[in-house]
Amino acid sequence: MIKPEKNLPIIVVLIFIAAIVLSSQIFSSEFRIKTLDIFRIPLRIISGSVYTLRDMASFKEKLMENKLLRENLANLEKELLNSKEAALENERLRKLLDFKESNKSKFVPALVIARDPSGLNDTVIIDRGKKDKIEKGMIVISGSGLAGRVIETGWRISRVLLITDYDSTFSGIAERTRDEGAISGNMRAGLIMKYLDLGCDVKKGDKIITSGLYGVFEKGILIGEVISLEADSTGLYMNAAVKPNVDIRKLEEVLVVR
Amino acid sequence: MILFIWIIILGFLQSATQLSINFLGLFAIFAGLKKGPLWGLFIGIFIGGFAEILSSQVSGLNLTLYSGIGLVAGIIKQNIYYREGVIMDFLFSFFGMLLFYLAYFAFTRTAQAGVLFTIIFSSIISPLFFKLIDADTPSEL
Repeated sequence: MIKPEKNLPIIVVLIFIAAIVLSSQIFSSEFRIKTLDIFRIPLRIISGSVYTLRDMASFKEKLMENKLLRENLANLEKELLNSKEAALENERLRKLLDFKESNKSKFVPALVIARDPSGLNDTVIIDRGKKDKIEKGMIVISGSGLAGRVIETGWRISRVLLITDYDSTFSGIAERTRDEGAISGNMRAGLIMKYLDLGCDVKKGDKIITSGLYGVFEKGILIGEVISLEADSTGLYMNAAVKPNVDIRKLEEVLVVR
Repeated sequence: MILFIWIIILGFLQSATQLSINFLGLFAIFAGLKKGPLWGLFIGIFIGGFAEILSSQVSGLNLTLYSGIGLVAGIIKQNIYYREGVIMDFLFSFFGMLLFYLAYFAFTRTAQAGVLFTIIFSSIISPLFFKLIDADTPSEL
């Protein structure tokens, strides 16, 4: 008869090997996303309750914010009037030039219902999927900035790789100087814009937008703002620390660009 | 059965919020510490499998790490040293979490300073957490 106490090391090694071999077979990307589809409702309930509690806790703060926003609204209304004038002028000029209207993007609102439980990956799960015509590679924005892109889609759920994840790399340009660099995620530290020319004119406070190169993201989406610059350890390039425009840690609602 | 329900509920909570507490890791350490190395391993496999679904990491990583810390906690308790008490629970949780994150960083070749808070907060609440879970789960599970 097998005594578990005596054969513990053998049992353990066997279970470990079996578990790892099995998991690599079972936990495929498709299996994970299909299982997450089942968990969608409990995850929505829990995340919804957490967001409500968070909102209640910051009620006073929200009240102040509301007051400020109302004041800003009056100013924005004036600006809107000017933009309407500009839009009408633009339309007239387009007609004159026989300019064809490009395909307009549609936005699908989605709720962030879960994150990576280890907290060591910047990925989130949103409550929209193939049913809402969400596809792999679609851009996800929040407020006025880039948040990430869809990497997996289930029927009613999708996984989004946030721009701050270590695995996220894409091309960006400085809006003012048009200097181009590779932007990588640096988790809680934000983003790093690498391979900027040593003689580039990028300064602290410059806005960084997507370049549209390599087809990862569309051109012209706001990424963030340069907070510091330093030479690369090799001395061949400059690296810029970029603060994302979107607060990745407080992401609750997002828009998927379809 | 109750333990598994707790794991799922707190796993969802950990995933839906951004608490600096690794409940899933604490469950694995608890199982190894209070129920023995084999239970630590089995429950660690269940927790790892659950985390695999929620995570986007390479498949097998969560499973290996959670089952690993459950097993190690159980082996140390059984073969090296353990005495019931708050300090022991804290130390086992602290070093268990440290081992978990060091292994995670070694596998993924990435490091984050923020996990230090997770290790500390998780260890601080571990004695109370273990007491609550222990009272709620029969010894034979």
